[in-house]
Amino acid sequence: MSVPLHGIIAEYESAEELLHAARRAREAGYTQMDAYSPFPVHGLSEAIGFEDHKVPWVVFISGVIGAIAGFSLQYYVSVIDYPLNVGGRPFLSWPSFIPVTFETTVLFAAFGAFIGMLALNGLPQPYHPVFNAPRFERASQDRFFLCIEASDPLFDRVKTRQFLENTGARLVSEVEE
Amino acid sequence: MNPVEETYQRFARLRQTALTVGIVALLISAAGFGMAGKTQFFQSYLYAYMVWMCLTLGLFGLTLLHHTVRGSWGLPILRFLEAGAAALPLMLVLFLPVLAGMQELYPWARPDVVQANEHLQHKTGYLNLPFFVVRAAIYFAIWIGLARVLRKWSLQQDITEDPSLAQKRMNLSAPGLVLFVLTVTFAMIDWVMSLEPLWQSSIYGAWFIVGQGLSAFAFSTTVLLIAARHKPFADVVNPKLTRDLGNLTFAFVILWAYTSFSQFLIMWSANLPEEIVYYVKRNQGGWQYLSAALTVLQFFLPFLLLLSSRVKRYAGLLLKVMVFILVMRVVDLFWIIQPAFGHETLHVHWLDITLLAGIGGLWLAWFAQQVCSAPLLPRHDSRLQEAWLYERSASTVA
Repeated sequence: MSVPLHGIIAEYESAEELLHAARRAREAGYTQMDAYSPFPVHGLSEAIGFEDHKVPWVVFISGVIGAIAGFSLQYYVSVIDYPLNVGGRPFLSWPSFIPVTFETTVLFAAFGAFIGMLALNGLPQPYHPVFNAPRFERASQDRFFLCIEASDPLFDRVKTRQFLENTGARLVSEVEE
Repeated sequence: MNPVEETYQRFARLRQTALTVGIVALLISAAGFGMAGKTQFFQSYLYAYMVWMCLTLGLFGLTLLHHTVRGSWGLPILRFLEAGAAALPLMLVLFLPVLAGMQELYPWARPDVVQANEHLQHKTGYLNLPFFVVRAAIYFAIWIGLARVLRKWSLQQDITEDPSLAQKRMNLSAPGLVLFVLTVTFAMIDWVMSLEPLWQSSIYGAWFIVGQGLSAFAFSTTVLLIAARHKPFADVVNPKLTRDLGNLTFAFVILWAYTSFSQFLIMWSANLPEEIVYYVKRNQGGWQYLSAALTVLQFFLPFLLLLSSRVKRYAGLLLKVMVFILVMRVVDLFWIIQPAFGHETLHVHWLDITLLAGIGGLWLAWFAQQVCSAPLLPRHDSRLQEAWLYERSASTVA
């Protein structure tokens, strides 16, 4: 028993059971938990108390950078580096710069969303303690898992286990670090 | 008195207040007919009429959209959409003064102007008085007919709970949407674009329809969020619904910017005299400040605000954004319509405001009357109860 614990994990058969258990865990005062399911479950992130708005900000700032980059590129090309007189229009023809600026905004924002999401989730991650949980491979097939982590202030090896067993879990097991 | 009854009372009070304001404002405007001259009167009238007509058509269009796609977002606001569409007969009556003032409003309706312009003479096949009236009659007949049938089937289903009525509404609304886009495109070309008969734009109809959709989302969400303090609306407004309505409005804000900018970019790039004159007029004499204000306040500001999930989660914040968008729509139509009359500098005549209030008062009174004459929420869709029960259980547990 000397191996440190990552947490205690419970396995459920349906998304509803998982949602129900997550809400009960929140009511019981647990804050450090994570849920694993084969598909996105509506309301689950609220149920486990996930409050993190970093990704939207990463996307927004990437978008702003994209807009500035797209516009600056066109400004540099058409005004500074290679000015061309097109039908007497000003070199800084901002209306015709807007479509490209829009595209680079979307492009950078999409990159920001993808890379930011991976980075903030700490992915790719070849090893995670939760892989030690029995039957965890079914989290990507037909089972739903809720793991209360050892870092939770209320975490207690015996009580947390009892709590999860009372939430209708099919199987409750300890997850080694 | 039960709480739902009180909500009906509130709408009845709105009807009384709006009717009083409307009649007083119209009486003042009638005095303005003599004081400011009939040209100014009809110009202000057409502007005020189009502000409310665009809202009416937007609400009607969303009714068609809701019956076609049956999204759950449409159920809590359905009765407001239907009540707005039911104002079409009122708008038909209020259209008569436009017909009376055609010579003041439309250059192509003045024989001396047409005589002097060969280009206009080639357009008389379409732009002539009898055909204009016939077309308007056809538009109104189609709109009022569709709106009445859909409302009848909707109210009928509340009583009979016959699910085949939902299918019937869908079968009518889908082709109805096609007809709506076609007729509104032609109507906007007739009533607004032909104020500048030598100018044309092919995105015009889409531009207006998107603007109408934006007005309609902003208006129905505003009414819903104000009414949400009371039953039965208090039971159906939840963060999921406000997020949906906020996101749809957000989409229409972007679409409005997209269509506006597409029209501008193409004309700016081509720089042809007969096209660019539209933007030349609207970018001098003070109008340029309005152009800039619309770009910033009807696109960038609502765009950034509605990007935030926080704004969409809290009804109070979302309500402020929606009211703001509604105000900007009134400004937007001023920018579209008023420079067409050749006013070289930006100025607001007091008739613009009294007529806006006058027609608006009648419109709101009619709207409130229609809201009062039906169940406040459609009873026929079980999803309203399901969604509501689900969210309630979620919020009590969380």
